[in-house]
This record gives sequence, C-alpha cells and structure tokens, in this order.
Amino acid sequence: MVALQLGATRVVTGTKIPNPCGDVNLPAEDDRQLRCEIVKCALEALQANLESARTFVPKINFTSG
Amino acid sequence: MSQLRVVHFVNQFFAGVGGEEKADTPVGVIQGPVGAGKRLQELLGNAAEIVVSVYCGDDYFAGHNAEAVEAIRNIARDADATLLVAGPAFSSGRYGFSCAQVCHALSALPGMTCIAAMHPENPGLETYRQHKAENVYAIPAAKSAGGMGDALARIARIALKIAGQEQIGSPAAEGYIPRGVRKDAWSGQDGAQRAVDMLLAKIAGKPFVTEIPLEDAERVPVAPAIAALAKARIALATSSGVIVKGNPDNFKAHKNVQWRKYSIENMDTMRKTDWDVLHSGFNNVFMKENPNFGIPLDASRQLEREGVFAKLHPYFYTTSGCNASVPVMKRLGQEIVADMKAEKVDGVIMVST
Repeated sequence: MVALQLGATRVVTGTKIPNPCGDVNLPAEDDRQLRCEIVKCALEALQANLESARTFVPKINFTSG
Repeated sequence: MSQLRVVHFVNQFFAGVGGEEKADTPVGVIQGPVGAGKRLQELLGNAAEIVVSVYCGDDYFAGHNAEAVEAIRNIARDADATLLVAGPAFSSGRYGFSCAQVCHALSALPGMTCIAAMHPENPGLETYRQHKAENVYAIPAAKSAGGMGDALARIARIALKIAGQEQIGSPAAEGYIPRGVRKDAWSGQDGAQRAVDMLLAKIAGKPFVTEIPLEDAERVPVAPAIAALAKARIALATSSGVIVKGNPDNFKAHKNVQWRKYSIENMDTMRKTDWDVLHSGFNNVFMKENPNFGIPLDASRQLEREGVFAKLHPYFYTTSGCNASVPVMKRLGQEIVADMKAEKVDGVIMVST
C-alpha cells in the first residue's frame, strides 16, 4: 500500500481510485450512505491511540468494476 | 593562489527584488555581490571574488525548472566561476529546493564546487541527499535569517578551504550535512578489533560511534489521537485534483508545485457547485460528475450536523498529486499543515487517488 510506504500513519481504505469515497454504481442515497461510513471510519481512525501505522477498513460493501 | 571566482545564487527576496509578490520573477543577474553576499565577500577577503549574483523567483523556479537551471548554468559558465554559493535558504522550502537543484546542475560543470546553506529540516535537502555529489556541500543554517551571520561564516570557512585548494574532510570535521558518500580510509585497528570495542562499549552503556549509520526511511511519528472529537474542527484535503472550474490558479494535470484552499462555506455537497478535476493519473469523469468522491463534503456535513464533530473547516485543501516530486509534496504538506494549525484544525481527512 503506497500510503503506508510513504509514511502515512492512519490509512483508511476507500473504494476505487477514480472515486475513493463512493460507488458510481449505487443510487445517489446509497452512495452517500457509503461515503458516510468511510468518513465515520476516518473519524474513528483520528481517535485511535496508535504506536505505529495502521490501516482502517470501513464497514462497507461496494460494487466492483 | 589565484583568486577563486564565485557565483552567488539567491531568490527574489534576498536579491532585493521583492517579497512573495515577486516570486514569479525570472532569472536575473547582478554584477558582484548583492545583499548578504556583500558580507560574504568581506569574509572571503582577497581569496575569492563574488563576480556575479544570479537570482530567480521561488515560484518561477518551481514552475520552470529546466529553463531556470539552464540560464543559471550559462551565467556561471560565462563568468568562469568555479564556486557556487546557493542561499542561505533557512527554512524556505521553495528556495531550499531551488538551491539544491542549482547545485546539482552546476556540479557537472568542470572544476565547479557548490556550497548550499539551509536549515537541516528544509525539504530541499532530500534532493541534496539523493544526488550524493562529492563536489556539493550543504551547510546547516538556522530556521530564519536571524542566523545569517553564522551561516555566512560557515560558508566562508569551506569556501576559503576550496580557494586554498585544501582537502575538504568528513561532515563531522568540516561541519556540513552528510550526503551518504562513503570513503575508504585506513584505521589503526582491523575491523574485528573495532567491532568488539564497539560492542563492549555498547554493553557497558558507554558512548560509541557507528561507522555505518543506517539510512532510515523517514519515519513519520504517529500524531496523538483526537481526545474529544465532539469538540474538534475537522478539515478535508485531497490530492485528487479537485479544483475550481476554469482552473483560475493554473494547476497542472501532473507535477504540481502548489496547493490551494477553496471555500466550502455554507455548502452541503460538492455536486451543485462549479468544480473541476485535473489529475492525469486516473479517469476524472466520475469525480467531475460528483466531486464528493474526492472531497466527501455531503457526508461530512451530515456528520457535522449530527454533532459527531464540532466544526467542518470552511475550506478544503487541494492539489493534484499525479507524478509529483516527493520533496515538492513534502514542502506542500508542511505549508498546508502550517495553515491548518493557524486555523486551529484538529484533524484532517485526506483523500488520495
């Protein structure tokens, strides 16, 4: 993971490169909910007491492709 | 000894051209020393002469690397200079970077030696360490121009040695920043003996000096957690290249050297407003249609309304990170953090592509 290699310490996994905070195949409201989950996960990461870099995975399901 | 001919490279500010508003000044020439260069000339005495001072605006250099370096190299060559002094740049990131680049370019000229000076945390030193040129010396300087006198004295010390054709020794002996160049030398004892002595010292808790410092991949310390999220100000940032439609600030699709912050005050989604996306590393179509993918404003606004955190910072910070130079991005990061700290931002959500 490039982010970890470059020294990022709190890394939240997004969906896809062209739209990291969302899913283009979902209806607008579902996409927005998914985005809320990602942001919530990021906020959890900001509150986590860490000794070293960690990856956080939001509780989401997204479409592939 | 014949007099050493010196070219002094400075930025627009130290050349007396102007401040930040003149950062786009192209390469210019002044005969003899300028500004602090006059003090340097005094310290050099008769051993060396600053025959020409060349300046370049910080932004001009960042945006026109190749042209600027070419122009400066020609000036140095035409002046028959064999010593380049670049800086002191102190903590100025753009200036430190241009000093390191100019040193690197001019170090290829026959007979040339280069001396740069900047604060040890200046991101320009990444370039210096990367190139490991044996005829380029970076001198540590203070964070600000208050340390000018000291920096000039250190520069002069090495310059006078070069003028006297003396050997420049190790970083520790001469006071320059290590480049990671390893030189063979005879020691009094064989390796086995030195290793055991070092180990015995370490076990006894006595001081010892390693012969081979391991180059550490820069370890970014983990920032402390936010203790009270409900009271926190959160800012959004991205390297995906979300910009104002029409690109008024002239972002490039790749190799950017700048960042901007744009207002999202009173907006609750990125969708309805005029944004664009400029990043040649991924298909921008989806994010153009819905910039919330890069700056998750709609979701963040909702969570702000729910009180999950206190305030969403009314600006988002952006650049396009495609093909970016790591030292440049490090500088941008430092500048953005300085801005965020001044604005009392507690936490950042940064979206990368």
